[in-house]
Amino acid sequence: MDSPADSLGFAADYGLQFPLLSDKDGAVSRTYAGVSSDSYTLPGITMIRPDGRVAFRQVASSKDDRLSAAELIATVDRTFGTSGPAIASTGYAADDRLQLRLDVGGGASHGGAWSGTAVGALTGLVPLGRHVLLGPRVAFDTHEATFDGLVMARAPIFGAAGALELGVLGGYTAWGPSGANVGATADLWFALTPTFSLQLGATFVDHDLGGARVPELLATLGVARLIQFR
Amino acid sequence: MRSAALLALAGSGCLAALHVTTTATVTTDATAPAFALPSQDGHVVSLASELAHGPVVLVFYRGYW
Repeated sequence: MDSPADSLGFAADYGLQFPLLSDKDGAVSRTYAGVSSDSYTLPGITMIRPDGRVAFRQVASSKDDRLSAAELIATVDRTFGTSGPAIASTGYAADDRLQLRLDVGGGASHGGAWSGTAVGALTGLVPLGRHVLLGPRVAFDTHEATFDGLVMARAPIFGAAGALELGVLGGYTAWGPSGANVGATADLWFALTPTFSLQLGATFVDHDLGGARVPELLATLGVARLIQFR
Repeated sequence: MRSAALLALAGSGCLAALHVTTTATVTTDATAPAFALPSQDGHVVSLASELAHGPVVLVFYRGYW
């Protein structure tokens, strides 16, 4: 059973505007919705008129029996004769959030001959709608330090909890083969919670475009903090 | 206007199979039994105090299946 303290974090993560009540001994759940034989609350809906009488009741005995958010709103409107705007995005979905990514990995770069390299990169990304991300990327590795701008196109998968992302980057390599650089990156992004994601990526960067031309190929695994910003 | 108060009640746990034992006594058109439970910010929320502001929607959920 979730305690009020557990619920506080949950409500903050999802931006919930209504009270989350903790039915610690299950007495209210038992009365209103019923419980399973292992003492867990059955998912259910009860709508109560201002005079205290029950207007609508539904209890789900399986996952598929639950009312969706849209069905719940429609049922509220039908039961109470209310009306209101359709469900709008609140900005609390994972893919609506700013991303602060830390990626680590390794690969190889070719400065005369191929040699192994380890890399750590920090990336900040702002979502412009559901399909575009934009932001700066700073990467430090065994042979280079690079400062780039990154633009990514993403295709949502698993609802909006994941995405396939393709991006291009360009900027300056400040240490090692210094000079302008360009590159491309691809990754698989997956939001574990509304505030944390994992990403698995591959990046190609061509350093010192006007000079020695040092290509570099990297594979990275990273985590991101997802930050609500509007 | 949609002014019904929405209350969510938490029951969480993890299990492989659900063996249903419904013991709920509430029925449509009957008077909803009174209750008062703590919310996430520590305030005790009672059904009567919420009904004073209009209709109430109770959503019972479990964290996992």
